[in-house]
Amino acid sequence: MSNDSLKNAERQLIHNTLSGDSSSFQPLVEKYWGLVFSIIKKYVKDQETVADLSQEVFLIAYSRLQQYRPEFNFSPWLSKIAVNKALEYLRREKRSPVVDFDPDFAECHRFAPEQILKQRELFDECLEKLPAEMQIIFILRHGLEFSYEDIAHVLDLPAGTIKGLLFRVRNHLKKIFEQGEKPQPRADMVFSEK
Amino acid sequence: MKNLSQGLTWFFQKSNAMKINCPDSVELQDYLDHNLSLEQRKDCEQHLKNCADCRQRLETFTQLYQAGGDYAAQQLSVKPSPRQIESIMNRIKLPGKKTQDSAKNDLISQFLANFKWLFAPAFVLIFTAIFLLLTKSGPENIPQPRPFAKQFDLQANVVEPIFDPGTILKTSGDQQIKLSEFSRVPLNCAVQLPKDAMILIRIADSQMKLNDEAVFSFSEKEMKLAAGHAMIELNPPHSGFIIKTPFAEVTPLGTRFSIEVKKHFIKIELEEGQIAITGKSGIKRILSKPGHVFVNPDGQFSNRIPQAQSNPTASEYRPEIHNHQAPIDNGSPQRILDSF
Repeated sequence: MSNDSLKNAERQLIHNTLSGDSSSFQPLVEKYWGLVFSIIKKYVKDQETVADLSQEVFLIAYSRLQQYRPEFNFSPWLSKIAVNKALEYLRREKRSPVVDFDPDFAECHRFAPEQILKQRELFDECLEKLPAEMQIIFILRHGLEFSYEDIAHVLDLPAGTIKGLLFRVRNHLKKIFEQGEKPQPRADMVFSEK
Repeated sequence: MKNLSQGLTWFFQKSNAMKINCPDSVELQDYLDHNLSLEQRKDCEQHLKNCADCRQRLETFTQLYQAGGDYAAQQLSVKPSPRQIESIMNRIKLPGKKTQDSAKNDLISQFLANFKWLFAPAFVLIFTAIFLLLTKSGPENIPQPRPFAKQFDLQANVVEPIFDPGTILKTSGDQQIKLSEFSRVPLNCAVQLPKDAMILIRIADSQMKLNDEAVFSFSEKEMKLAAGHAMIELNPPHSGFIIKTPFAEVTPLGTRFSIEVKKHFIKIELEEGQIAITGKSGIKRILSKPGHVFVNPDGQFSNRIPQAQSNPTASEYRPEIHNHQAPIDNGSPQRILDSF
């Protein structure tokens, strides 16, 4: 199915839901559960809480569906709700979002030289230690091909900042594929707190 | 010496020329992101044909993009369980949510906008009809009990012992009363049932059975349950009634359910009706089908018995909570209840 026909099918489901057929919302839950779950997982570590919050995101999306503008894509709109829900949870729990590198990241170089990890595993491991927002940018850009503007909308940051951050992190991570080693953390990739 | 100087000049010129001509990493990423203009793209491709270094750099970025795509795909591959879908769809279909649906219907909105002047007389008619229904006697003029005659008032409770092992019961101020003589739970008075005892408390048309050394108290609209087991059967009206436990608050919405407060968890089991549970963490869950849910000391929900943790647990809502050395039997039930 082409991108356009997928979008049309999605719009039809949203239209049906708004017209009172709430069962039309179920395919949207099934389709976007992974997206919502992966975004919240970047902020909240407990899996059960992540699942509870993901459910809440879909309930909020359902109750605010009238505010969604069909000329835009549905997934950035839903992603923004997920980010806000996760941040709200952290505020309520008085926990700070991860705004800096995990200190463990600095230990990347402490591995013994003989310990050979596959590049992909190394890449995933280093990416997992980046700030939550950075990982979300990677998922949205590389997994769903979101535009910089869409990502900016989701994270409430200027599109130029998103692009700059993504480029810097890619430059940083490419060392894994150049030299097969973990890169050192860099101060200029610290995410500024919103 | 002259040759060396010439050689260095040539080297720096060449390296500068390369730096000027070779696309930088931003351009290479823009190339892979399809963000270059057609002309820039052609220039870049032309350069790549002739520059092995840049081809190598591009290859590195291509690998990184592939790894990024695989990472994202793996993250996005999580699927909801049938139970999670069912839970969302059930909550969507709650009556309160349906009104939102209907409000979204254009035709209805248009109708409401055009005929809003009808609302005031309609409300008057509806209220008059309700008033007449409530105040008038039955169709045959026989005095009928009014549907709201029995108010749900926790103060007006009646206690009946079901199993009386002959032991004593503790109340606030460490009073000790024989279970057989305990006929009413006073408001704001902490009560701890003796071992093996079970009591029935009637409140209007509702009732609750308590056992398992239950520690509890009543206030005007609230029941606190710090330990033990309560089986509750409610008949409306009981608006505003709430049950507080160490890890969660339960708001019954017309229903039959039980709450079991254990050392490391609380088990809430719904038999009939609907209940809303708010965990200590602030997460809310509505049980609308018969089933059970566990709440751990952090106020989070699970379908299985949560594992014991080293941090504060329900056991500490037993007498130990204020005095960590005090054993269960020597503590005051008031202190246990005051702790949450």
